[in-house]
Amino acid sequence: MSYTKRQRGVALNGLWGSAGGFASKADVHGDGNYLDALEWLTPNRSIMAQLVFCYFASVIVITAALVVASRNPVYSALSLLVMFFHVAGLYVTLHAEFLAAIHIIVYAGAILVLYLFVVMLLNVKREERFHRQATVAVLLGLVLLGEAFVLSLQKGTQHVFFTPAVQSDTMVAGNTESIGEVLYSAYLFPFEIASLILLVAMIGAVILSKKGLLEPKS
Amino acid sequence: MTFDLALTGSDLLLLLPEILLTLWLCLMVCLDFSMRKITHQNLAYLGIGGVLATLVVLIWFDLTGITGTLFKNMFVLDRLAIFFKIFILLATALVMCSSIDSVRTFRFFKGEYYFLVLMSTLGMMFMASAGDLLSVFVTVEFSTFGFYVLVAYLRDDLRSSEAGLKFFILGVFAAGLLAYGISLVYGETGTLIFSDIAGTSGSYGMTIGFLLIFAALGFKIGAVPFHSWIPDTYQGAPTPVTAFLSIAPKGAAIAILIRMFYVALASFKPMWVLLFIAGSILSMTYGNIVAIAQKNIKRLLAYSGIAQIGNVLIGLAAGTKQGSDAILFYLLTYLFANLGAFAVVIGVSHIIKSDEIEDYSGLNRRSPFLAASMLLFLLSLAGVPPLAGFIGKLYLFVAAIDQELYTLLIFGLINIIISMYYYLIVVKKMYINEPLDPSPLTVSIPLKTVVYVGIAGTLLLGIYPKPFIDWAVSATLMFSNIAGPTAAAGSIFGG
Amino acid sequence: MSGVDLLVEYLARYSSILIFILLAFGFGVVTLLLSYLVQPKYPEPEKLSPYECGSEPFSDSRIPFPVRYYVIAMLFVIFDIEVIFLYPWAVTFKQLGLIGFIEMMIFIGLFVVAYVYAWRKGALEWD
Repeated sequence: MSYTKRQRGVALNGLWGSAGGFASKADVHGDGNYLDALEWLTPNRSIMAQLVFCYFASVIVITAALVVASRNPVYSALSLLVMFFHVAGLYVTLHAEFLAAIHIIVYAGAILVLYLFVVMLLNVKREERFHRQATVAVLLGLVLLGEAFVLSLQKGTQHVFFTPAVQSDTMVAGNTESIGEVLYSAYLFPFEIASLILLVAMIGAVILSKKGLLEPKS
Repeated sequence: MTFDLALTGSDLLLLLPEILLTLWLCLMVCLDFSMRKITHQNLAYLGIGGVLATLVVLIWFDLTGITGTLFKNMFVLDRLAIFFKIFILLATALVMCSSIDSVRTFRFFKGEYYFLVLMSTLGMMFMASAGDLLSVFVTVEFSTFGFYVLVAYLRDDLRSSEAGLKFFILGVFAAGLLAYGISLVYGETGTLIFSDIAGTSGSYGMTIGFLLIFAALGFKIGAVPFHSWIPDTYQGAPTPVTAFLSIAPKGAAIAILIRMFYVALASFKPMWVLLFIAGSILSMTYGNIVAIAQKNIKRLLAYSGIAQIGNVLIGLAAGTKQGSDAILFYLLTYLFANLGAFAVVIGVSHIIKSDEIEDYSGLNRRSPFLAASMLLFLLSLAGVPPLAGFIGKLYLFVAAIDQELYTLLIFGLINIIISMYYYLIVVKKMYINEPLDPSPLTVSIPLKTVVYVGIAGTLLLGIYPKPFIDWAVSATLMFSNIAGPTAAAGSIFGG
Repeated sequence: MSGVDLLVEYLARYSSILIFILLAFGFGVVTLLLSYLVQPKYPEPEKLSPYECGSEPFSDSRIPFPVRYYVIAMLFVIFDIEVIFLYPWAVTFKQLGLIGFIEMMIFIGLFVVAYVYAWRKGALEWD
């Protein structure tokens, strides 16, 4: 994705120029191009991509740890919320905007509400939540960490963890459209199974949660 | 990107069994909420009718050789899939038949029980056809969701709730492992389709991915060391659900295992064979030894089921076409013996309200029919000639000998002796001990039908196994060229 | 290629979302800050103590929720996921043509069965 300097200028101008015009201070050549100064200040593209990734990844790791480490379950749920937003951010950096959006709608909007309901339903107190599973957790974590190292070392430097902004059809056509095109043709089978899963989930939810048998109204 | 989905009428024909069952299911749901007068028995018979109709379609497919693939190999309908679908539908019909008495005692949601059984069946039929990892994940989840609810069906019963919770938490954990494994495999190979994975070279990521997938499927079949949910879940769940859980999902998961390892990973056979040898020995030994100490018949059958899965894994450890033939045949023998035994347990517990082995004392005096059929089923499970289980075990051992897996063979033989011991404890209780309450036990007609079918299957597969072996052999014809010497040992049965 | 390029790309594509996020955060921060700065502060022990209708609180205010909320929330999640599937279908409706329409009708048909089931069984009622 290469923007002309003009486009970049417009994009920046639209954002910062309208906010007060302070960006003009960076206009060292006086030709309406604010970017050279920034270019001089910032690292190159792939390092920037890594930095963006590192920001999201480290927040995800920290908040995920807080989810299991907080003593107050409501704090855990809120850490989870922050985590969901940053996972959505990672999706955005991969240009999967649709996934990012549904991640927020479904996870942050619906699933997390369920978690909070459970917390309030059971009225979980702070002390009751802790179990002595730290040993198992550390052991499993070490195993997974080792696995990640093995996977990352085996291919050396050419192994790319994070591909910044891969240019593909998904960017041109719009992410939602390209998902729609494959979901309803190549992946029709899992899609229809998903509707059956929703059917079974609905019936299961009614059976397990409703008290007693409510006869249908005549 | 162009839109391409070439579905023709003949393609849809391949989906006919599933479509038929889905429509039947929707019909049942609609009848249940629209007609107040419809009883749960009628729904049960309607459901069994649907299962039998689907069975007829599948048998027609099998006889006329209708096969094919759909959705770019996501859905595969070959002889193997047809075999497992028939297997699952048979199990479903028998389980629904033996559920009618138990469902009568449920307080709420009697009709829904049958929907959920049918939905899980549908999910397992799709599992048998799953030709890529994405459909494996989706279909496994679909079939398991029904079971989560079914296991916890008795909401007033603490044991049932506990069973449901344990099953759910561990099941979701297994689903997580499955998804993680699949994503690793996809990251390394760039494809999810079994036949495409077969063409890729191995890597660490792929190995770890498939290990995780194996762990998740090992959870479904209850192989050691992924068995920890089995005893409590089997004990707490309503007994017909236990019966269903002990046979149908195992069959479906074995179908996926066979397809995954024989198709996608055929070139890595020396590696995964070791995995199955270890799993087989551990499952057989652990299941049989722990079963000895059990006081509850459902727990006994749970541990015996773990051991039986160990037997099934012998076939995968052999990793040959003969091994898969033997698995198919063995699962058939296990179907009849296991469901028969559970039908007897349902019949007994329905009257005496207990699953303790102690309460089976003197069953022979109270109901000679139930005692005799239980004896038959237990002997078949143990592998006593001339019953079905004997031929099944023999076939598996021959497959192991063919691959010179003598360690496995020795463990298998030792385990037969151990299993004989605890099965005979039950037999001794039934025939020698005095009954605590000598009143005779009566069995309802549907349950009796299941027991009769079980007896017929166990005897037929034991005395005249040839057509069934032929069927199993023809179902796995596509594996004829899998690595390893193809022995003529199958011919000792005239197959 | 400079790192600015990447940032500019993100900004060009997501600047509106960024503005929304900033506005949302800003609104929260500004409101809290303003009320803190503007309010008259005369703290007294009596005024700071929690009370309920003039008397001491009888119990913990964090009472357990009734399970009904949970049922509703659970059904909401299912509906939510259902709707998610409609978005990509809607934007590609023209390309998908008749087959796409039939696919979605099967999907919705199955869901209608589930919906009517839950409705008739009283799962949507508040009692």
